[in-house]
Amino acid sequence: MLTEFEAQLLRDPFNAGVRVEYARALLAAQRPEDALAQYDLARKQGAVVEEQFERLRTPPPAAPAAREPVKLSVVAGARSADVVSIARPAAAPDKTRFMHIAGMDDLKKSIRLQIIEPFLNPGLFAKFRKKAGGGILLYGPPGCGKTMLARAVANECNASFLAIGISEILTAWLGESERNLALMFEKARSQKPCVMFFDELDALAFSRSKASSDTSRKIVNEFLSQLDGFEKANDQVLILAATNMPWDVDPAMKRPGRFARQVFVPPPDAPARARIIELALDSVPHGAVDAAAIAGVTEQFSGADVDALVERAKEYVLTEYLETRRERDITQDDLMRAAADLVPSTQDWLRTARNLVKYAGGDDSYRDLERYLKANKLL
Amino acid sequence: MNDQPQNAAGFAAQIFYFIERRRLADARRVLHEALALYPQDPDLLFHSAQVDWLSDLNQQAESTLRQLLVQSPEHAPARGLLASLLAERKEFADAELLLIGLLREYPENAELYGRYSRLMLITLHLDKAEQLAREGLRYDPEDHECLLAIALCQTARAGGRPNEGLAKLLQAHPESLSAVHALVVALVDAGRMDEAHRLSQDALRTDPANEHLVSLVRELRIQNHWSMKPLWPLQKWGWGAAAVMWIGGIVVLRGLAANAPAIAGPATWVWLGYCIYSWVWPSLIRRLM
Amino acid sequence: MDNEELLKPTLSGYRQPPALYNSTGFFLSAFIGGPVGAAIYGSANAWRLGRLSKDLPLFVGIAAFAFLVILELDRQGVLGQLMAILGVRNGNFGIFLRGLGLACAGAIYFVHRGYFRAATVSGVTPRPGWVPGIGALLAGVAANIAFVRWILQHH
Repeated sequence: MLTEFEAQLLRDPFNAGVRVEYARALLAAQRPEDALAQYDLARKQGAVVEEQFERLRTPPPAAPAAREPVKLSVVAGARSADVVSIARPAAAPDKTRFMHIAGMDDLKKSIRLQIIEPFLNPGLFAKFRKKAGGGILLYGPPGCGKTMLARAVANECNASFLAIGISEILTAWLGESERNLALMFEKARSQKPCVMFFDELDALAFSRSKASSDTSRKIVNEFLSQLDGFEKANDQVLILAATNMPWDVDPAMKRPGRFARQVFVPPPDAPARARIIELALDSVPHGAVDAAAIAGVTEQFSGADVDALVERAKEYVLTEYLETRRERDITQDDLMRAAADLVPSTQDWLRTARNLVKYAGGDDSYRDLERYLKANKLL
Repeated sequence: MNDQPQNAAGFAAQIFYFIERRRLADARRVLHEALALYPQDPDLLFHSAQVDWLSDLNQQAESTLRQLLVQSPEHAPARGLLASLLAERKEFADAELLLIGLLREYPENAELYGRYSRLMLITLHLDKAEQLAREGLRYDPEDHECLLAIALCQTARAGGRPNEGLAKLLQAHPESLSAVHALVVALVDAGRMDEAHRLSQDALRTDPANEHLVSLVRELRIQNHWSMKPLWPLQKWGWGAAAVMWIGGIVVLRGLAANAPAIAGPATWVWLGYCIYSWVWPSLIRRLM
Repeated sequence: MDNEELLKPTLSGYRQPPALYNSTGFFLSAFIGGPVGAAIYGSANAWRLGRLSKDLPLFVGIAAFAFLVILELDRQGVLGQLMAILGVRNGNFGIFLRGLGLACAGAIYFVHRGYFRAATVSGVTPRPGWVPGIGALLAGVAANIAFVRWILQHH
């Protein structure tokens, strides 16, 4: 019965009535999270409130972070008896928006113009022959907010969000990984407008010329075929992906119609770093701190590095307390000392990126990266 | 992966997945979990050694392999990896014995022939390298290792002229880095620096973390620089060209001095200038670029 | 080579891994040290390749042949004519010894060309040639001086 609804929604994704029926069927099939996602989408499309779904939002009283088993059902085939359970923590709905992301104003503006506004106003952009949807690849050093940015984009687009990591696709069973991938795409098709987000794309779509196993190649082939099928199916799905290693992503993934647009997400700029420091110090005892000065000595620090810097400063204070039993606040000196002690984790990535731009050259898709390296005197 | 492996083989499959993608931190994480449950599993121990080797922790890798081979002396991949480790340490004779042992057990394994062939090539035994590669191709005409070894052997014999081995390698594995490397070698040999440079740049785009490729591209970029063009005969023919130029130069200058002294002086200065340029400029440009 | 022959160990007989010395050293040894310099450097390579006993007589022969060429040219009177054309002062055979040294190096390279080519394509780094180079230079220069003196004495 579920497949019937999915087929109907494929033909008519804006039919709120069918979507609500689908949500009810999902609820009956013990899939409350999926049911809620469909219901929310139906509500955006004008469906009326239904109590049975609203109740799903309220967590049970005094419940710890529950690990609800979610069965990943196989649509067809003899392996349904071998359905594999995955356990995911019950996640609170993600509300990250651009305003929650410190700094990166230029990047946010560019993303809003290139990605969000075409998605929200397809009519306006169609006049200028700009299509909404398609695939965008966010790349950059680890810990710089690619995943957070992707979630913010989804929320800014007011679309349902489907986050897919390696663990959602890959299994030890032969052939299941491709089927899981196909399932995810079917799910997204039935939830339009939708943002699909593939984290660690290099792991899922690893370059076939580097892969030594057939399994890896088959997954990439399936991925490509789904993306190609997708392009024809609709304009109301945005596919985002993030990777630390864009050079490991199969080149075919970056061709027109797939992840043709690549956006470099650099380490946070000085205002962003200062803001991250302020946020990190918000709930801990600290003296007068000049966050801008600390940001000034933390070039190329990722967001994660800045958090680690504050953690290190806390350690200094706590260590001193253990030795002297004297409590004190975190000071500017502690933070400066931590900044001097830590090495940015982005260095290796930037060194590799420099090799790519300086010696390999000629590839337009890394223009943003080249500009960043030149601006920061790394090239 | 979305299912907890039910056995050591399941863990090994996951670990291999991460190793293939050089996600060594993820591989270590899963290994840690797996070895806690199956501490003596040979495949897991092998993967642990492999991860150490890929992380340049050769001593640790070798220690794990030897421990594994004590309990499972038949473990072929472990012996193969140990051969690679020994070859890296230039203990070629021991590496050779391991490979021969493996070939005696798996006499139709083309990849092993390919690896043995590469070992022979590194130890400068060109004839045997080629024969081994040909033997391997009898069992698998498209084996990557054998095709690469043949391509290199034939490039060594033919110089920069097109060779059948290289053509077959490029046809069977056009995107492999090894094929590109073999082609770059052939092009450099033929003095076709520009093409070699462009090809190696393409390869670097797919693997910018590869330090060997970075050095190669950097060197080719230098060789291909406009200011190096006058050194083209020396780039193409190496020391042979140097010898001819020296002897030819001395003979010509001596002849001019004896028979046309008016131009002997300027010719000598030009000649000396070229000699100094050929000695000094390549080192200088390496520092500048 | 049949399969059994292929699977016979080749490297066990070497005390150290086969290798070649640096080509720059070879060139300079031949250029400055003449035929003797080239032969000594080539013999050092032969020793590293484990074929000294096979190659040494040949290289000594090549160097000897080079000296014989000069002697024959001198006997024929051709040497004097060449020196006049080249404006070489009497007794300064250096240019001929350089040329013959490089020719000997070429012949020795031809004998070892498979090894040189294998080293080039497999990217093997050659060993530094300081020790054989200095030895070859000194011995070569000494041999050249002795040879020239002998010729002049017997002119």
